[in-house]
Amino acid sequence: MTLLGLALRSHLGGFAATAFFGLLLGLAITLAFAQTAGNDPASRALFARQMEIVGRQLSYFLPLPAELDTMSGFVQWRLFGAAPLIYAFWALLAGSGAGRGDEERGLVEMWLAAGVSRFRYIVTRWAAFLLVATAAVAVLIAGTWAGSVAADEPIDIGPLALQGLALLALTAFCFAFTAVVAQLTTTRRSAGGAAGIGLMVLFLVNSASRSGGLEAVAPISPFWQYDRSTPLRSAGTLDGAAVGLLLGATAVLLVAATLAFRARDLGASLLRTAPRAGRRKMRPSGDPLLRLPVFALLDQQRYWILGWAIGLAALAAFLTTLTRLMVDSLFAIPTLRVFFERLGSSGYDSFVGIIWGSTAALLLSLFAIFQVNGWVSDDAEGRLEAALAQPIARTRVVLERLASIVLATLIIAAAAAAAVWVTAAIVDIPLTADRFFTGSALMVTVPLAFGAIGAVVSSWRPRAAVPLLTVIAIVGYFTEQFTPLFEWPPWVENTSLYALYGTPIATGVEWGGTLTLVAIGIAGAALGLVLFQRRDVGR
Amino acid sequence: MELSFAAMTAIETRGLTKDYGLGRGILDLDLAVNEGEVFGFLGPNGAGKTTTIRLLMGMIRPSRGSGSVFGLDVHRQSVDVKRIVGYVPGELPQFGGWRGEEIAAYLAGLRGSVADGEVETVARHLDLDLSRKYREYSHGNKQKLALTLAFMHHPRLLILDEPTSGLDPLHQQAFFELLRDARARGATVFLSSHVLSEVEQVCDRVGIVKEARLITVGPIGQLMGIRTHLVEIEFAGAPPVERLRAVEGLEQLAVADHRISAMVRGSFEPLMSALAGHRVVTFASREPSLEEIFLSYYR
Repeated sequence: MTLLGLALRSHLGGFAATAFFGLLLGLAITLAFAQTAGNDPASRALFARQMEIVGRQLSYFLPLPAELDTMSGFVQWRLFGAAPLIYAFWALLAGSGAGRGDEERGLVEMWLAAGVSRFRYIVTRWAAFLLVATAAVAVLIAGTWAGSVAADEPIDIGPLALQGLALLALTAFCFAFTAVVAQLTTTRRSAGGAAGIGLMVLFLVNSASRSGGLEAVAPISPFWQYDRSTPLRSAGTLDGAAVGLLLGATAVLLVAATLAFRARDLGASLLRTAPRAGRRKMRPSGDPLLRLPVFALLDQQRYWILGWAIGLAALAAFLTTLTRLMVDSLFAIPTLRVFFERLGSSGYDSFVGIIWGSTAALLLSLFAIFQVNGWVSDDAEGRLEAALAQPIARTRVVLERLASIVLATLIIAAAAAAAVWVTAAIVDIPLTADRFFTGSALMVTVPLAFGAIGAVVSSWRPRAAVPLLTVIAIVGYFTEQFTPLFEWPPWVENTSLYALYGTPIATGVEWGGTLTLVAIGIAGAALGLVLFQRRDVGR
Repeated sequence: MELSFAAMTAIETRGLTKDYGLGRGILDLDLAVNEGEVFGFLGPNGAGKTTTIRLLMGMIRPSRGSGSVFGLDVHRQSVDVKRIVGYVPGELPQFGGWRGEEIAAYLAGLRGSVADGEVETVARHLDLDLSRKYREYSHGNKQKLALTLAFMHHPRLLILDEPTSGLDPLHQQAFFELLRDARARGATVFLSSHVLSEVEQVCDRVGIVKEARLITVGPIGQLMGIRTHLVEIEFAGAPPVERLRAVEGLEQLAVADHRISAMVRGSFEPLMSALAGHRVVTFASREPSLEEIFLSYYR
């Protein structure tokens, strides 16, 4: 197989998942709009008002909504507001894989030993991603167009294609950004982590600008440049300058990554470190935590947990500082005031509870999914076998893993809660102490439930664990968001793990839901134990 | 072929099977390894060596049959088994950015009651610097770490899958010294290897696996000396090739001008009968090396 063929194949899984989600999203959003928005102007206007409520709530996440009474306007906001997150995440994974993952697996060395030049190798890797990214965006566009046709409200293919071009430019930028970061690190994990933090910061800069903050620096964010294009709106168009800037920046970054790849040693960072000095060691580390159950697992990922704690604390402080601005603008609209009052939010403090609580629960469940991914890797990369070569029961492995998720998320939630508490005091939002701290502590029940489900699936079909948990997270999050709006029955909402957690900081603990999460944790752990006892370990 | 000095059975399998289909895995393995002996497990890639070892370590479940280590069931009592076993896996784990000292501390912590001094003794013997990150280790250093972790607790049984893989000759000798020390303490060793010279050097008995089945077991000396011989014969005239091809037990016949070479399995009598009436100029016979025996099973 040719180098390009292999490079394309390396993106097959990512392409399939992203294109699948894109297709699904395109079809689902267009068909859902036709189903729920109604056909007469009055129904459409009511729908647009309702969705605007959701949109304003999610303005840290999605662009500000407009023209929600039309299929094109809704697709512009809902679909092409959310799609960048999916495509950027894929680009992050692909960029770290192409920049470091192949090297870790020895593939780069193999190709270079076969006589392929570094330049040809790396340029082929970049080109392969750009090709599959184009195809994945095309699938999204096709799905959206097909959905709109099926809904009998076809969107013009021209503006759709222009929007696809903007999305492709953003995806390519995220890939190139990660590819450059990968040259400065030494592992795929550190490349993904560092680039992920960088992209997250750029994303938040754009989010802040939607509420009037950080407007001066917002243009440095590729997400801000992407938001400039709104070709699906009636008076909107593709912002050629913004897309050109994204493509130009992508080209510059890829050239930089190529030069860095040619200049550095394989397996090493471009940033050279001084030769290691110091004495050789023949004794095991004296770190006592490494020898303690559960703490050993936390100690091994101390920097990862610290990064999460700092990142979530920063995000928590950021959202809290925006609270007054957001609440004032939302409550100025009478219909929004009614909606939030129905949700239990009567002021700044309960708004903090709702927004922060739901965001933190989502992110902590994401942390749990990363942990489950780590378990799968432990198995595939032989670390589990190394641990099980010692005299420990498999039961201990499962229970330690779940306990480490609970402890780690407790640490992260504590840091984030402290940040909310301090920031709220600074911006003069009084919080109810008992509700706030109880609600913050109970956040761990969500990652516990995710971890327990992960324990079951990873013991049964390891490769299915992360995709399945991701689907549970995405579907659960939106089910919780949409249930009050569309007045779905309670059982629908209760399929969401986030809804089971509820809004304890804003409205008090819903013990039924909380105990259900704990029960899922216990039942999952028990089933996971049984399955893990029976399964074969290893690659 | 039980050894006379055997005290008790260290490893015993009865019909042990892991069937991956298409002849892969290990099928109906009946094997007994005696306490105190060094047993070599030979076979090419995919023959079933690693599968057998992973079954003994309780990493995978048998499709049928059973195995025990010092009387402990390898599946039901795997924790107790691992208490007395030191293990080197065939495929080394990836510990990424962990330092060698952290890996040693973590795994020693899981094992419990391993003195740091014991780890240090083995690491020093193998000249392994534990302060470096795992990803910075060469393959040989990763192998040294695996050996350190296997020997650090003075196990009663060592199960070693390709233990010298990646070691330079100097450190191979260091490994053999560790093995001799372990044996002197009474440890049993079960090792798989492709390196037949090392098996010849350290093993008391060997078992050969082919296509998921154990095809022979015996003491090294017996395998090398009794069953097969290499013969080289020079004839005054043309060799009686057709008659030779019909000789029972004559294998791998090669003809070059007036010379033939072949392997004789079993008695020489059929060969000598076939040579009657032909002028033989030279006749040389020697015991094959273990490598030649091993290869003879795969030709």
